[in-house]
Amino acid sequence: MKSIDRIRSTIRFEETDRVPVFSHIFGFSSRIKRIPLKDYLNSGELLALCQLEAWKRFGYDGVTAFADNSLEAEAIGAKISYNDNDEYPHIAEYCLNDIRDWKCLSMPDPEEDGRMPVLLEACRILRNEVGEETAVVGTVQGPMTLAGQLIGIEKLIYGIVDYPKDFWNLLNFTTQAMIIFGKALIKAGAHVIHVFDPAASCSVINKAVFSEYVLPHLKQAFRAYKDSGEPLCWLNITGQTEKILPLFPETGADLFNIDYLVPISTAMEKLPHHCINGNIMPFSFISGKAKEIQREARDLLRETQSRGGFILSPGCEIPLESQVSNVEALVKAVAEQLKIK
Amino acid sequence: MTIQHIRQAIIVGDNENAVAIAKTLIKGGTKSKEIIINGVTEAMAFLDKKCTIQEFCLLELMLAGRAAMDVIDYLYAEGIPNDETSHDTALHRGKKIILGTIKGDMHEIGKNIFSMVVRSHGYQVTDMGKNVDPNDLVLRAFEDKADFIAVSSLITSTVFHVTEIRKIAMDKGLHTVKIIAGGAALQQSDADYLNVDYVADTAFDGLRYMETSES
Repeated sequence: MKSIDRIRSTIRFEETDRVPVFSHIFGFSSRIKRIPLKDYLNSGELLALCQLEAWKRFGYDGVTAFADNSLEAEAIGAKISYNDNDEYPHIAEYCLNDIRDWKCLSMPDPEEDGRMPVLLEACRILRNEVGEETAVVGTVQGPMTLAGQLIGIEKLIYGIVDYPKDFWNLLNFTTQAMIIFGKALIKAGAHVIHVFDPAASCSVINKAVFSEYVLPHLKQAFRAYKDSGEPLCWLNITGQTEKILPLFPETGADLFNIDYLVPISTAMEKLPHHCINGNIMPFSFISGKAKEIQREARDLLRETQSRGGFILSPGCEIPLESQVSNVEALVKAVAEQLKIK
Repeated sequence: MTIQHIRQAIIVGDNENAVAIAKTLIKGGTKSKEIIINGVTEAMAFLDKKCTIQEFCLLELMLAGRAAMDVIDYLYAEGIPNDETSHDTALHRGKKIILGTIKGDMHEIGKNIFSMVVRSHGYQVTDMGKNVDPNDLVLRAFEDKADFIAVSSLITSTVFHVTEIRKIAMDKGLHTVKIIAGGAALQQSDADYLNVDYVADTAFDGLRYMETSES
């Protein structure tokens, strides 16, 4: 069974040859190839090469066109900085100083601005190389997270209460930006649009703010993606999400990432008819032993076996310092389950 | 208007109202110490109970923290707590904490929340900012004779710098300073791995550790 078919069938709760496994391997693939992370983040060719090599080496289901959380903000005008050639960049200068100035923001052109063209190039190469063999995942920042990258999370949070209309309008802007970039990734070959919005978790905002402000924007974005092809839509809100899980189906996404803070049993209970993926603690890939990862993966597979609609993965991106043996253990767990079957 | 109203205004994050009530009460003769202990600290205690790792919400905590700090800043700006009613005297006798986001990370929000929580409980905080070298943290702790060093990080690549703090502190002769770590990346690890005294799940969890280790 091809990876892409395995994922599609799992999302529909249909039988598959084995449980799909996502690695959440992004920058870590450059470490394996011994390429400086900064080079990986600035070259579509290198990014695609590292992703392809990691995919071939470990055998998980999917390759990812994703650079870093600053990419969209940079394309909109934020200044980024690297502390080190082997670390992710951070925002050195935000686009906005005051949330009321959202009108001054300019919509990015994915073919021209910042490193968006780099990501589109990576996406095109990945799709050309893998065809329909495995899933090409294109990642965009969610409306809340991108807003935080434009003004800084503290100012954004105070803005919710102090200037709610401007906050709403800023989310309108970020949603349009993520729609434009997501559509460009679909056009470049992405099978899956992965919306990453950690700032929308209950660790940051409460259920009321999520429901009133973020949810309508997520709906709008996923509807736009679905209207421009047939991408699988994947919502990834890391952190604590238990209280907002029942609202997730309203977003229109097909698949929901569950971070390690939410027990998988809770996610299954709150999302009985939707596909979920998760949720091994990312730090375990640095500090844990392969046997522990394998045991945790086996437990998750056992727990979700009768339900179906489950993709094994870490709760979030695995750290750059992860051990190769731990990634191997994650993938091995699904292969072993296949043998047991 | 009573101190209970200040407490409630802080809990709901209404900073302007909290300060307005504080002004009215001070004019009416209420002691600042009463406002701090029965208003600010009580409000923070309420949030402490609510704020577990499952229930933690940055939005609510930041708004309440801003309201609490605005009340405290007003009381200080007025020069009110200069005697035995001093905030520091009333609570933790000016215990000192050196705080920073560790080298390699630029995220300050967790650190800032922690700063608000411990300041509202009377600790003297020296905030070293973000991307702070462990040597600088220890040097400042040495100069200020600090009781605690607290570091925060959201990214795992900083772990090595966190593990260095203890050794640098020992080399400098700081044998009793307590080292606390927090933040999304460090929370996934443990005190032994990070070579610190405590890994806090939340700002209040860190505060409780500090209070316990004083007694």
